[in-house]
Amino acid sequence: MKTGWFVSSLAFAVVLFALTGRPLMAEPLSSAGPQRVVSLSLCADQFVLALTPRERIKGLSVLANSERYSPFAAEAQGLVRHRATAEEVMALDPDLVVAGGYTRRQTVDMLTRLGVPLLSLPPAELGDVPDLIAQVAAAVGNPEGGARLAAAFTSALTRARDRGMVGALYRPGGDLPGPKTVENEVIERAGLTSLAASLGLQAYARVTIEELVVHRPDVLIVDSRHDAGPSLGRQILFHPALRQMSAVHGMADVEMPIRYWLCASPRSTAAISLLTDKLDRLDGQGGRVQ
Amino acid sequence: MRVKTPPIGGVTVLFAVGVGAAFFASLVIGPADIDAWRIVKGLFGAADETANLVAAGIRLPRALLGVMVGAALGLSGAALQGFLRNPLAEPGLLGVSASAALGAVIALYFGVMALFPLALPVFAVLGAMAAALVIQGLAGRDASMLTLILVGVAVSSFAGSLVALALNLAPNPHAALEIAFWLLGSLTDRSMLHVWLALPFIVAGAGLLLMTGRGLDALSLGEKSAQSMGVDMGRLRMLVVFGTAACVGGSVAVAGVVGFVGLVVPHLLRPLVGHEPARLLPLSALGGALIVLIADIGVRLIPSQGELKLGVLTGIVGAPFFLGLLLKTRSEMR
Repeated sequence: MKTGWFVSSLAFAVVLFALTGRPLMAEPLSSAGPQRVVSLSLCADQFVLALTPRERIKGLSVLANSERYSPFAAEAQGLVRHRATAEEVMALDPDLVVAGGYTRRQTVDMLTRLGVPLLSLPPAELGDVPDLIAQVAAAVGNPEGGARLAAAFTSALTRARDRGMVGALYRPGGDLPGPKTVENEVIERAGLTSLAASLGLQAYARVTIEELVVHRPDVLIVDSRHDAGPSLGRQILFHPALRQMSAVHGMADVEMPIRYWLCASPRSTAAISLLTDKLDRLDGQGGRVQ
Repeated sequence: MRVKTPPIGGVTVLFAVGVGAAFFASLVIGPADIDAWRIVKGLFGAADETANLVAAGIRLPRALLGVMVGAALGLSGAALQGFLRNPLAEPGLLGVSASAALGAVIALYFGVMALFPLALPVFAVLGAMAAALVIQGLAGRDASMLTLILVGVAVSSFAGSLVALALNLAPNPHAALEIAFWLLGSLTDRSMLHVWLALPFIVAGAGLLLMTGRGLDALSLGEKSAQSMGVDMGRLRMLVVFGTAACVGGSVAVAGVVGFVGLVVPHLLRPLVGHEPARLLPLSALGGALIVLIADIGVRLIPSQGELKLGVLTGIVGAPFFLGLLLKTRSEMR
């Protein structure tokens, strides 16, 4: 016990020295932009990976390399990941921290107090992505890359014809992403009428199986039926009532990956084309689309 | 202390009718605006498809689980109080429920249930049994109330911490967010699968506990007298431990930890049966079913962002009741 205490005190002292010994703010940013960029969250990871040269990325969130949760997983392979505590972030000696999305507020406050240059991305919808790209591009010193990416994003932000069908994304525990969420906008852009919007629900509302049966959508979209592991909330996606709704009413059951719409991301437009494609195939046959 | 006992038959019938009424109310009350007649027809698949699905696929399992879980908890509470001769004994307070939750969490989140669905109640029963045996060993019968409660607090917090640890270690990243279910219980969106998983354990456990009646009656006169009346204490202990574990394990596996039912119900009903454990047991099963059905209707009626958890209501009623009981028995605590 004694040595453990001693080692952690020592580690604390070292961190303190690292923090106070070198004034981070005073260091002039080189003309090429920050050299040690650290991202704090899964959503921020994606902008950082899209706009920063790989050798300057010094830290990403734990989930950054997860194929399931990030469309930039391939780019994140081999880069350092951290658990988003202020201590771990400071140990990476960043000259720019990008936060946003799922970030602990205390961590951001702590980093701000410690004087780390911080770019905090606000919660975003799809329409905000070009602006976020521009902000991150400016912060990492890559405005041309940012302009190209934003233009590509905007041109991929398509809208399919109205299919005259109601769609709902159903998540574990009965979560139904509603207005102002990326998921809802993708559903609408793929040509569906969003059940959450037509029910007048909040951004993240809970809908019981019973309510879903009564307001039965034509297309049920699921993105968490086969994920990292079983959970109580996920059992709802296997509720016999859902199967019966498909069998009896011909409710279509469409599986989507979760990675493109978990964050408003530079690659979120892939969700629109993917869902549009699945729904186009559905129009012919009806039923289940993997 | 023999007191004049009111006729048991009448009270039992009254409670049975009450459970029937609450069961019916549980079937016809819900977010979907479907009238009672359509629900009744829907139970037999004779209404429109929506009503059929809501009645038979969603509300029926929920109402059945309300009866099963309530009866199991009421019965376990009555049996534990009788066996430990302690008015504060209850599966929730003693940590039996929390340990059952630990078993269920391990079975569910680490994929055992996916291979073998029965693993869910089996693991929960094993958890409950471990806690029951630990309490037996640590507190024993005739332990002071203080000892019993303190052992319960320790077992409960230990199991609760392990539940949180298991959820944090679980492969599913959202697992930790589901701790509220395991702490507070819920019957929302359960299906007939859950009924079938829990039913055999609750029925078997209830059978074992109902067999304890005569022994508990004798035990209420003291352990020596009970033995002189031919009660096999070892057998009685096994019946109580296995019966409680099966009842609580089966319930917690599908509904999470619903607190205080086993504490409140036997207390309210004891005066009605003249303090005779044998008659208290079946009545507590009915009373427990009634209380859980009513609480589960309550969570549907109270307007809230997302449905309330069942344990919120039973806790709001049960915790003050527990404090009142503590005040009443304070002199015995010293």
